Amino acid sequence: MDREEINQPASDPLENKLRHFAPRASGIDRDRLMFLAGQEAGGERREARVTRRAHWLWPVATFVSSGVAACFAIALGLQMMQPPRERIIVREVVVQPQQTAIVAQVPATPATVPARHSLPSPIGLSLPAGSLLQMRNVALRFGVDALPTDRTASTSTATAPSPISPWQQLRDSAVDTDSSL
Amino acid sequence: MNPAADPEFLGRLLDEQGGVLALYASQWTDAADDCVQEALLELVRQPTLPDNVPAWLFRVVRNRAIGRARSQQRRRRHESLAMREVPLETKPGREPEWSAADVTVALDGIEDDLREVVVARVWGNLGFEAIAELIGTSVSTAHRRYEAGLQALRTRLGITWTAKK
Repeated sequence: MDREEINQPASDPLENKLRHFAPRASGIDRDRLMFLAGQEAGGERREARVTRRAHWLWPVATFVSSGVAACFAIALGLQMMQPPRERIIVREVVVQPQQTAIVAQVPATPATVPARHSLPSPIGLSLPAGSLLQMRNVALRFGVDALPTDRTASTSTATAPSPISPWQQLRDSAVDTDSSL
Repeated sequence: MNPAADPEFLGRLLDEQGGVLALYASQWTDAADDCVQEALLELVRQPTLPDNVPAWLFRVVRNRAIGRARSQQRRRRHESLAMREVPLETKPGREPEWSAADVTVALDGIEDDLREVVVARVWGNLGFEAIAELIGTSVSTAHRRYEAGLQALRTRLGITWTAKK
């Protein structure tokens, strides 16, 4: 049988008679149905928004991370292509000028400086200019108390052999020889 | 937005299809109205409107009604089904040969697969292609069942049938 023929409406008299009856209206609460439909529509919109956001989230994150990785790769390549760069770093060192002066002058004196209070006082002595300079340095560094006070045991000039002594020894020995003759 | 979410559209759909959908679902379940309401809400949830809305609604109602019938059978295996309310009424201004109750009884008396096709065709105004898709058969099978259903109704209503020439 042809499809158009079987789809012809009300081709049977019984069908026509049955159409005189209508299904009873359903007992669905219309207001409740509208309320639920509104809820469903709102939920559908929310889900659609969330789904749309979730749909874009991962592609965007992937795109961004891939871009960052590509930038790093390019930067690394450029850095490897360049020759190593020399760096000159200038550092400013702050040094106390007074301390350096003392440190620079100290090595000349400490070996010859005697202990405090045991040094003979240079006052009143006729010392050469170099010894006076040393005394001044000692006084500046260790204070006045460090200057020697004992004149007899003071300086190396007191114990140093006098240039007259050998001649005096020769004269004394000559005197002794004459007296023995 | 799905037009089914429009209250006016949904109200018109309920007026035009609600009764026949309930009649269609009532052959499987007592909760026919619930099935129809769920089907309408399911339609609202759809992102787009189906091409053939009545056919889509029939399919959803059928699936839900059969599912409910199965769960009802599981729940109350030894209980008898409650007496169904007469689902048909006479259209105003018509004087049919039979009462609505007679037609309802006759309709209840025929086989399920025949009644299903008759309801979908007579009151649902579905084409045989849509009916065939709905019940999962070929168009010719759907048509054959329809003819068989009308013949069963004739017998039950006491109509003398004369073949078409």
